[in-house]
Amino acid sequence: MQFGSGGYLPPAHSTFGGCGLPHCQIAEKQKTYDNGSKKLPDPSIRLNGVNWPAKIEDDGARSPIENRQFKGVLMEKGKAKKNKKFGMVIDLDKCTGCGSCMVACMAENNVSFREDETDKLLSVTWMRVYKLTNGKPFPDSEICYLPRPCMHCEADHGHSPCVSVCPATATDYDMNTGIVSQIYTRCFGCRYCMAACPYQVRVFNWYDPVWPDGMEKMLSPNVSVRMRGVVEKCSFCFHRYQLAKDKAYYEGRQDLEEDEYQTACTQACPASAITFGNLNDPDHAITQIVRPDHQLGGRSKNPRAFRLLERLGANPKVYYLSNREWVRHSGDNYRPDEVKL
Amino acid sequence: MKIDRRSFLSFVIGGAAGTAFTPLPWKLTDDSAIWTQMWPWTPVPDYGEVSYVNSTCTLCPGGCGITVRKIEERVVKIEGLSGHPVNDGGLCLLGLSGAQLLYGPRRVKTPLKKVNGKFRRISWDEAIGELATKLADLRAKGGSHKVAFIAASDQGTLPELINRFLTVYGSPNFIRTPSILDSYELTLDLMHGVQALPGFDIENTDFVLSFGSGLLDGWGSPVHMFRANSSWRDRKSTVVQIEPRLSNTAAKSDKWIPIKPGTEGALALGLAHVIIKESLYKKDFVHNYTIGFEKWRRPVVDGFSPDIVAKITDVDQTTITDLARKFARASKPLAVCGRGRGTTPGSLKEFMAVHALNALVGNLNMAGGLWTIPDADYIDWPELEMDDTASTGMQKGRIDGAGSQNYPHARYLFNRLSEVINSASSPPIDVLGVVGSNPVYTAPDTLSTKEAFEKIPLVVSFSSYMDETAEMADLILPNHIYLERYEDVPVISGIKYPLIGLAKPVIDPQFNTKHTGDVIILLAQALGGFIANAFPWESYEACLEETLGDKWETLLQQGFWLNVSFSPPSWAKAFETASGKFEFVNDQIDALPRFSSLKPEGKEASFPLVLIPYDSMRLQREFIGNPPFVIKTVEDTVLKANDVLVEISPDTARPLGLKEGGYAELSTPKGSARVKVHIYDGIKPGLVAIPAGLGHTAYSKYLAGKGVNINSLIGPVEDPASGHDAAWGIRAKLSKA
Ligand code: SF4
Ligand code: SF4
Ligand code: SF4
Repeated sequence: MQFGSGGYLPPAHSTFGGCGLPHCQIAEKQKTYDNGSKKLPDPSIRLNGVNWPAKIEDDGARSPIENRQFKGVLMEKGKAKKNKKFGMVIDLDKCTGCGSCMVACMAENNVSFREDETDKLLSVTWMRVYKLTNGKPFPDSEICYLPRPCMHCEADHGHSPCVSVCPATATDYDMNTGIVSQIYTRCFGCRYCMAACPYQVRVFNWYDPVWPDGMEKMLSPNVSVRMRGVVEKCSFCFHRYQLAKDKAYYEGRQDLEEDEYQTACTQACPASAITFGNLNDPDHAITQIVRPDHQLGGRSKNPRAFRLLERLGANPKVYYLSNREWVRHSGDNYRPDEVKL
Repeated sequence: MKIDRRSFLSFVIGGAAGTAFTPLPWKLTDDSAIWTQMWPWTPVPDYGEVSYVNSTCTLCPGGCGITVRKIEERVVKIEGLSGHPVNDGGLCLLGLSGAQLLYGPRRVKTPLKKVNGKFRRISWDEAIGELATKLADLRAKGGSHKVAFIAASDQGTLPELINRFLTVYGSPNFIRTPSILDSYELTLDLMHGVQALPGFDIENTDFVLSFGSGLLDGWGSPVHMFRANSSWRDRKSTVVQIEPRLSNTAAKSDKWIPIKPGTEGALALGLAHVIIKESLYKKDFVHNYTIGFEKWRRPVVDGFSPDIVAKITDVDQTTITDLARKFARASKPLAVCGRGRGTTPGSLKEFMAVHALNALVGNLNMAGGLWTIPDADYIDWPELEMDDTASTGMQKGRIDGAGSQNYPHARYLFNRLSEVINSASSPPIDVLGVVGSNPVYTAPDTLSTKEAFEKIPLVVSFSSYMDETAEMADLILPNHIYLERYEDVPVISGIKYPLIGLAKPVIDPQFNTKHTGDVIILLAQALGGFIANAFPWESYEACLEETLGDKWETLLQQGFWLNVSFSPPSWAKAFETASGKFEFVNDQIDALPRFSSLKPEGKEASFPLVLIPYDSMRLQREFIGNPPFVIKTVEDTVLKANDVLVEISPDTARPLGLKEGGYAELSTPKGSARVKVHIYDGIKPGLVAIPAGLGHTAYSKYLAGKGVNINSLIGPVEDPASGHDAAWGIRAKLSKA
């Protein structure tokens, strides 16, 4: 909705009506889990804090929040065919922690750098590789690397945690691609989205980006250079999608081949640990690996797969694979009595 | 005016409605974005025509194919070349940052000459003229052998041009920087009788036994190794990593064996013991194609039983027996060695012990095994005609002693250089050229290396960057960087086929630089006579095109030339030793398996701990220092502000009162440094691990002054069998600071 020139009305739910903020959802779920159960709850039946039966039936007895989530799932079902839903799956057993994905991203997306980048809270990085440890002493210690782009959370019906809170509509969930955008010129730096994002994906530009004399020659015109005072994050290299689509249209095609749109990190990974594609296209490798259950917020049917903080219900579109149980369990917060490794 | 309840309410409601429907707040939100963010100094990159140029990355010996995205005449991004036999589309983070080297702030932009301790710009004519005069004078005085060149490789047209120049000028002193290639070449020379490169058929092996090789930390051709690792995962192959620290390679392996460092050779012999005792070796190969097995097996059987080896190595007996059985029973086993990235040659006996395992399981030149790859042979230049000065100079011994009575097997002994220079009364080298390497940073014992460099009257650096060696040079003749020049790159990093990559100019030179190949040709022409005659080409490019002959077109179009039909010689033809067989023992170097661990330098009493360097893909320790993007990826448990963190186990930290992130003083017999402590469960107690690749003093502010250079804390340890540097660590002390 637009009023006058340049004025935008924020999404209705963040101004009026029920609170869609993630902290409320988390609080809601906390109740569900505090049931003293000793076993690891199966997210497939407790997704979004609701006990979903295998087949969706409407018994009508739902709280307002549950109601919205339920609708989201139904709508999800209806449109699964038409729209694209780009996602990523990263094989953590193959990832070597080499850091190519981070640098490929920086080079592709004009990410700035400063003299000292060792304060990781200030370091502007869209793709960040975390190091996980199993916490065991020598010689039983193990480590695993976990690359983390933006999860492009779908939540329910595109109400991604970050999108829901932005007062400036600077970030948006695109229903056609499933990509969460970030429009720098709209962002006025309130950083609500940073607080809302459960994955600490977003970073704020505390400083002016400065390139040493001559190095600005390597800046790409396909991605706008960010300025001090705005928040930025991974875009799944959306400009590559646009370029690929332009090319396809120019060649008289309506649609893209799987390999025509790949993110910079996927392309660069020397271990081929990253697979990127359309989760709604059964022919894409990602769909065959992940086997998402669209009725359950895209939960994977692959026993090797997991998502980060899956129980939060943000429905991230980045999946991880590992054969190691401790790695899969480090993707979520469990009470000590829930899991025994 | 009387305000009644009704008019008050309508005022409030009207006001609220007005506020909600006025565009003002939304307009202000938007405006605030505009006011606060539209800084005029934020760069707006230009659009333009997009093109891609294919080339080869030469930033490490890996030999990856690259495709460079350009916008008009700007290099915007470097990506991996799909379909390339080495990397097939993937690229390491250094290769991806190439544009930052091209446009980096520490490029040498013009020839420089040091006058009174300061660099002054000079023209190319002056620079080449001055150097030529100096070389002519020296030669006239009979000092031609006092010229030396250091380069990172001895294969390809550029190193060959330098070597040719030195030969016809009259100096035997071409020196290659050290790496595990030295030890592998020597192993193949002594045991196979061939001059060859090791090739690893890693795509087909199903059991990899790595004696500390950083297969995923930059060993061999890094991207190629990552691809291999993924294929091992897909094919459910087994990888066993033997090293004292949980490196990334160990973390990805199926089994990590934390061994006592320096005893890897003993473990290899212990495995051989089990394989022999249980008769698990490949009989056909051992009985028909080898010699000396009986002589070799006796000491192995007597001296390396699992209980003895367990005591030496800290690896328990069942692990040893189990590992030996699994290795020998695997269908395509392969044992590799050379610690970390492979920058230190290591102990020759250790290499031979590990290589003997490959022989026992009969994988030599077989699928999934170790192949011997002949050196590239495409350089076929006319025979040299030399004058007497040149012949006399060539007959003088090498400065580093390689090939002499004391070091009969070594070809290059870079590690002896500083010692030789520092102990001589008059400088044994008058002119030193440094090409594609940065010895002042990479050589162990920084202090004595610097001392040696100061003693050399004329150091000429050909570096494109103001690195540590360039800073110490008297003359800098900057080369184009790899994105601006032609260069053939015979791949020497363990690929199983003979492969040549071609780097070609993707962009015009950005500064007043010159191809080192052209500089050598110009120098030769300036010196005249036989020297000039040896270089009939008008330019490096002409020389390259002529040299590559029928490969040139393929290289230009495809970016690489691959001998796909290559297969290594069969066992009957593979060995060119005197016996024509694989030799388990070699009397020349007393290669009988008598294991004595090469001790790290220093006394245990004053230095109770042992410091070991570790490698990681995110830290470059060789010629090229980390560009800004790469240093940015370094974790805050490795580098924090300007402090390096050393890893110690909780057990080591406790008695010393050291806490995570706390400061400590790290000292070794070679030096000391202030460091921070990172407590890490993945390291053997008693060890201190320090990342290699930090502590640069040169390069830009993005790298200089961060952390400590491991080479300032460690010195070379000479391998008695080969003369190469075999230091794997040094004794150290850590105390709270
Ligand atoms: S590039 Fe690939 S292997 Fe390297 S850290 Fe990223 S995901 Fe892992
Ligand atoms: S990961 Fe964070 S930034 Fe990305 S869509 Fe989810 S909430 Fe938003
Ligand atoms: S592995 Fe070596 S050759 Fe390959 S991209 Fe990296 S630096 Fe370049």
